[in-house]
Amino acid sequence: MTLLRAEAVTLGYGRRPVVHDVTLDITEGGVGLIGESGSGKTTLARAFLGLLTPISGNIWYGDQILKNADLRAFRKDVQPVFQAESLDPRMRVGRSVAEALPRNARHRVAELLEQVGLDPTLAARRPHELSGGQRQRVVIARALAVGPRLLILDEPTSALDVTVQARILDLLTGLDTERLLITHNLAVVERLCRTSYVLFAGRVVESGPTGDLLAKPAHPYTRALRDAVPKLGGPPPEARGRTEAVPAATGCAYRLRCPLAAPVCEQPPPLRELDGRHVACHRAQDVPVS
Amino acid sequence: MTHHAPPLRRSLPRLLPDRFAAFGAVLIVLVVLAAVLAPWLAPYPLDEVRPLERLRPPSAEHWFGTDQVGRDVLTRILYGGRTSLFIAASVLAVSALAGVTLGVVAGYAGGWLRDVIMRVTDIFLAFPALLLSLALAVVLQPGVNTVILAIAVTWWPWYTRLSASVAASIATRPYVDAARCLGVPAPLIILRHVLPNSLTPVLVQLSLDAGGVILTAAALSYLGLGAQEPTAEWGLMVQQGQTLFTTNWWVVTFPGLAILLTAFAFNVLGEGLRGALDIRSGGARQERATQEPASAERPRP
Repeated sequence: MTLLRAEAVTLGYGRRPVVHDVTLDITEGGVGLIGESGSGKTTLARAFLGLLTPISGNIWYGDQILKNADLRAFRKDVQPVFQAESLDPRMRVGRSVAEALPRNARHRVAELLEQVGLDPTLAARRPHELSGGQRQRVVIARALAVGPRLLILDEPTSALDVTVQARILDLLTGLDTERLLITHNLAVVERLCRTSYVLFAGRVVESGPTGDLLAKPAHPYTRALRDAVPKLGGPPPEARGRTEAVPAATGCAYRLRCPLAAPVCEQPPPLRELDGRHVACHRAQDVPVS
Repeated sequence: MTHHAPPLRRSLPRLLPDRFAAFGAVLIVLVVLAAVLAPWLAPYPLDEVRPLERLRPPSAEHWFGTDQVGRDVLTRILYGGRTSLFIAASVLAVSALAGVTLGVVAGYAGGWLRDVIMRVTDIFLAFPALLLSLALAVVLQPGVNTVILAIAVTWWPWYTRLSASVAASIATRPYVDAARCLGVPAPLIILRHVLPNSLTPVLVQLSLDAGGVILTAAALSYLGLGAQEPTAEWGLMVQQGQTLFTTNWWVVTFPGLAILLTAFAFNVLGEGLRGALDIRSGGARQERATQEPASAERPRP
């Protein structure tokens, strides 16, 4: 049984939904949530963390609906790793980590800092006295303090330069926890997640094994995301369709940007199975393979 | 967003080149020192009455002259500073304590609790401040404590509004979410994260307000509703000397100048602090951007 599962959840702030009818299992081997800014990734993560109640649908924690579950156990099992900037700027980082520990276990701060590759003497520093990579390690140490089974990683490397990114990724891959990774960095997803979900305008447009998804995208948006990654020595990424167009309010939300858009796309596309994955596109068969 | 040192500490060195603000700070230090050291600095005992020396103009013996019963005006101004500063400090302490407590709770909690607190605040804000102070001062016995209570009652809602808007923005920061995910109880989150990170704009506002409180207290005393004889208080001194202004100008002018200079000093310091925090620091600017503009530009009673 999966530890966390979203079942047909619609999420939003006030009455305006931002995430529509998403079903997602956090399975073994890491799950990636890919999409551009505003696609609803972080909103979904907040719901998985119990910080946001669904407008409809349910978040399941084991065999219980999250809002009825034992929150104390849930908080021990599921922890967030936000960006490096998620430390209280006024608090010494040792105290930030200690906040996660019971009073009689505060001595574990040094051990936790060492576990993420930091010198324990840094505990006395404030966040602005550390580098971005060091701060990110502190954030990870804080999350690990309660011994979670699942980490929800929200853009954990996006504010870091590439060499630091690589070291943080090494640290994350070495951890003995399940993970839900939210990012727009496909290389990171490829490395950390066996399964991936692509989100556009609050809807899952494609999901499946990460390798297949990136090698042979079945949704034009997944393909556009993949092709937008610059390659060393390669030609500049080619923009397809109107990349800045806002999501359409009816039918397929992606159709205003889609180079394959056809009249049929004015109808909402159902999520259907195709080659071992799920895709919500009327023209999935026509997406070029290369 | 990038990490920075706490905004206030970062901005203090920046205040030094701001000569106006530095001048204000020096002036405040001098006024406070003069008030604290009044028993040692004052040339005469506080209530020494010399009927034969009444209404003497400024001279080597009495630098600021003497009043209508022959008391040394300089002595009374030095001691009067104690009363005025005590009133200002008490009003600001009471207002900030009540206002900020309610404000951070409202800002963090949101929802119905915020609505209730903010509507109560609005009711208090709807009263004209000086009139409400006057009414209270009339109902209660005139005196220093009455002045403190009367002004504080009209002053706290501004701090509630200010800190509620700042706290609401702090409540959405990832470090607050992280604490919630750790199961830290809401009161502790407010104390550890929301309150300390909401305080900078409050400190600026306190500095800007100190002058206003001193002026209001002086106005209430001037109207006979504040400090009573023989307490030395600047507003009261102006009130008692007003009929003498054309004949014995020093009785009114020196306490008037004391009020003016002190209020001015607090204002320039506050403006300097606000400028340093607003223009040059990203974090503080972000915090202030979410404040309701009325909080800084409120009408003075």
